[in-house]
Amino acid sequence: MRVRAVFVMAWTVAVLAPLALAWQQLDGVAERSIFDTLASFEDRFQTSGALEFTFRVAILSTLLTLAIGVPLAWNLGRHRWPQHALLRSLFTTPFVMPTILVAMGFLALLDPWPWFRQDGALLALLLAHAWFNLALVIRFCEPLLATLDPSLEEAARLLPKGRTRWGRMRHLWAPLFAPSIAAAGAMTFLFSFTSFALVRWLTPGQRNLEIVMANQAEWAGIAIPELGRAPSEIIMAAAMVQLLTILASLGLISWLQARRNLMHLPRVEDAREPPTTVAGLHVIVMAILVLSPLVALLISSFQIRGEWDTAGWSAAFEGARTGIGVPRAMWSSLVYAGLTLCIAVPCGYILADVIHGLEKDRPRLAMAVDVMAMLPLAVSAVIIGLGVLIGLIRTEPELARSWWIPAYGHILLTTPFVVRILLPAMREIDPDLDAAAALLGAGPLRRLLRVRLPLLRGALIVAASFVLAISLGEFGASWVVVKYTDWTTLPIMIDELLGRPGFDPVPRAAAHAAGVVLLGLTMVLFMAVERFRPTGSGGEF
Amino acid sequence: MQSNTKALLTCFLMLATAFAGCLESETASDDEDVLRIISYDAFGISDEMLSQFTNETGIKIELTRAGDAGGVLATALQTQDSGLYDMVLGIDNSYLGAALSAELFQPLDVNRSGLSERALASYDGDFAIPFDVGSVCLNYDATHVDGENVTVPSSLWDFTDENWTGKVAVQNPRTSSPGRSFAIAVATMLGEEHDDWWSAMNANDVIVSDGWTEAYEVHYSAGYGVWNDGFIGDAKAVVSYCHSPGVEAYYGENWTTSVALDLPGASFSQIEYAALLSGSKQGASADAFVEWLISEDINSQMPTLNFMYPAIEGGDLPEDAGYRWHSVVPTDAVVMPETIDAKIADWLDAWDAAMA
Repeated sequence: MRVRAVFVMAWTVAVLAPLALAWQQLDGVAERSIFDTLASFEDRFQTSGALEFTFRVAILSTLLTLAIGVPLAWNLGRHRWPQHALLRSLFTTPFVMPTILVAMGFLALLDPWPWFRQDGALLALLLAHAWFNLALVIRFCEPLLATLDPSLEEAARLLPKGRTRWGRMRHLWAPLFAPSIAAAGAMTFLFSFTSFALVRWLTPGQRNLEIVMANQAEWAGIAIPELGRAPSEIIMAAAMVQLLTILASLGLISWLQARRNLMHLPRVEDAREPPTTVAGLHVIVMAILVLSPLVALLISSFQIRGEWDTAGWSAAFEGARTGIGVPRAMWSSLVYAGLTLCIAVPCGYILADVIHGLEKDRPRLAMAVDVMAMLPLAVSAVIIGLGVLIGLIRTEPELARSWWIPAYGHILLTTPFVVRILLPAMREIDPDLDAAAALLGAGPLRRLLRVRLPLLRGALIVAASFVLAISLGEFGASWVVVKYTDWTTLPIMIDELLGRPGFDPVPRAAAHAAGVVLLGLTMVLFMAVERFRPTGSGGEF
Repeated sequence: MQSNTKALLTCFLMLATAFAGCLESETASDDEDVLRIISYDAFGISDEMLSQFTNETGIKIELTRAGDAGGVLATALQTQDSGLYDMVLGIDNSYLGAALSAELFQPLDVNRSGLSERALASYDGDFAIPFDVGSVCLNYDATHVDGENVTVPSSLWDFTDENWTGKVAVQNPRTSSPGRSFAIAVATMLGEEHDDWWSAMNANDVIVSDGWTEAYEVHYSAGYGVWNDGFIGDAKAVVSYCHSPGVEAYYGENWTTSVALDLPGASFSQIEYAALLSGSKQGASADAFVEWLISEDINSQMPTLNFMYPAIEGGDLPEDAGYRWHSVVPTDAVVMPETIDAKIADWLDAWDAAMA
């Protein structure tokens, strides 16, 4: 137990230290209190409208995602589709796609309809958020739908309130799925609340809190008179609102999922029925919609100033504009992803194990560890990036140059996903198995390798695929204190290409080409492992 | 479970070390002569040219990209005296005063005699050596200015009338360096009236974006953005460089409808500097690099590499494909770095309040 207590403490320090350092630095510069800053949010161009816009987008995105996602999860989960695993992973890949490429894809897709760029910009953003977060609804609801004992519905048919389809919806399915849907909704809210690239590219001229912070980030924590103290004050206020909102939704998610576990629903191996025509059409249309931004990006990578041209692709592969080409950048990306995998999966495993162990006897403490495990998702990258930078410069500047600093960011960001994936799987393991194996004389290592890990195999594979995919697409350049060309990953290469003024059209096309490679790589890795997932496993991601 | 956890950790740590090996082999060793430079994202000197410099001199260049000119200064301030970086590339004259008063630099030993008057206009000293210049001003779409209903604006106040309602795009001066340069020009030109002008522009639905890219390629109707996905084209005038129409022509087969507005005092001459950070021990290598950067051979290529004018005497834009013909060298606002340093905080606060 001691090793694990130390581990949880180490994790807490790894997460909180950058936060505390950043906060201390900002606090040293800021003069006004957070409340004063918040009160004058509407009087300054940099912040006016941001609070309202952030909440409006997050709430509307959540509603739209659920409206689109729940029927799809229903049709996907209740019917037996050919290539079911492939189909399921198709609908979940958007979630691991780098958002800046999603934004490029949506811009390419919506280009024929100028309305989406002006009056309809908000709708375009909401659709992109729904596209991105669809996976959450499917992952949270589909497994239960696919394995719920059909006799429940048959029994309900005999009862007065369950005679009609609507009656069964209302009195049977809705109560059963409310916690799953609510958890998916809370997650969607969280990701829409902190959305950055999609807001920046799809709703020009609008700022949410994340953009407000990113805008002020470069001057944060610097006390020179020419700059004023506003940037640090704005970041503190925005970060505080964001942190409180997100902690509330994380707490809600943790509570909902614990509650869902208490329901003990009768499950069967496979409760799916043969598909109907309407459901088939629905799933096909949705599959096309999910693929369309990616196809649009692919097409635009072959276009230069409205003409078909492969110059973008050759520039991307030769590295003519960035010094290194796609193959080399791809290798760096894969190395970082591999490294992240090796550390994030065991970290997540241990954290999940601790939470699971505490759940029965000390549920409050379990929830606290759970929230701590999820915290990196909640804290703005701006704050953590600043904290890492300050921490390193104060202690050991040479460390800022080391190769593992970007990996540190990737690990903090992917571990929460491992926890969310492993935790439900651990809850399903019969605790007697471990005890029985111990009784039969199996040592700890043997029990881990022969009992626990094989039982968690499906969940571990899914977790690994998430870690790889998210790490590959991690654009959070603010994590990277010192960027060197030697370690240019695909996302950094794309970022650099997009950073050039576009008078010369080739870099933009090259960015799209590199983006297509990145998306392809992510998709292949992600979909390849999906078939290892048994129907009904997961239930969180 | 305790040893269980330990075993797991050990296995994965070994794997992680193996992966780390792949990365570590690529790092530079400490004995090499390395110049660590902070530059902005759009810095256009290609890696090929940098490796040419390395081949000639044995000095290795490591570029860190840090957003725009402001990002370069911010990164330099945040890492001041940490020894993490040796040089900055691209701090401009609008930020130079702040950098100098923060004592960020140490002197370079570079001969400035080959540099043009324009390049040395704001600052002529050892702490910062200019390597390129360019003026920030409004560009307009010539198809909008038909000469009958809409004439070429002869005053900034013309942009506050109904012909330009919702048709001018500027950048947020706190997040964009062209935006900041333009705000400085406006404040210098209009003096006390500058916040009234911004309020009037705000009332006239001026479009404000956080970066040059969004203002120019998403909103501006006469730029290359027309070819891009997501183009809106609602702005008929945009803050950019006075030679942006030249760059348009250069990449557009000598054709563009974009024109730089030649309005005396409504432009800001942006001068970009190379400087050696205090705390760096790489003074000699930095001198060599700056000498190379302002050498005739390299500096004369600035217009095509970095989309800016050369800083050297006699340096100009190439005449190919209308680059020079479509560009304007305006009469810039006259403002010194010390003035900017003293007033910029007030100007930006006034801007924030006027535009809220």
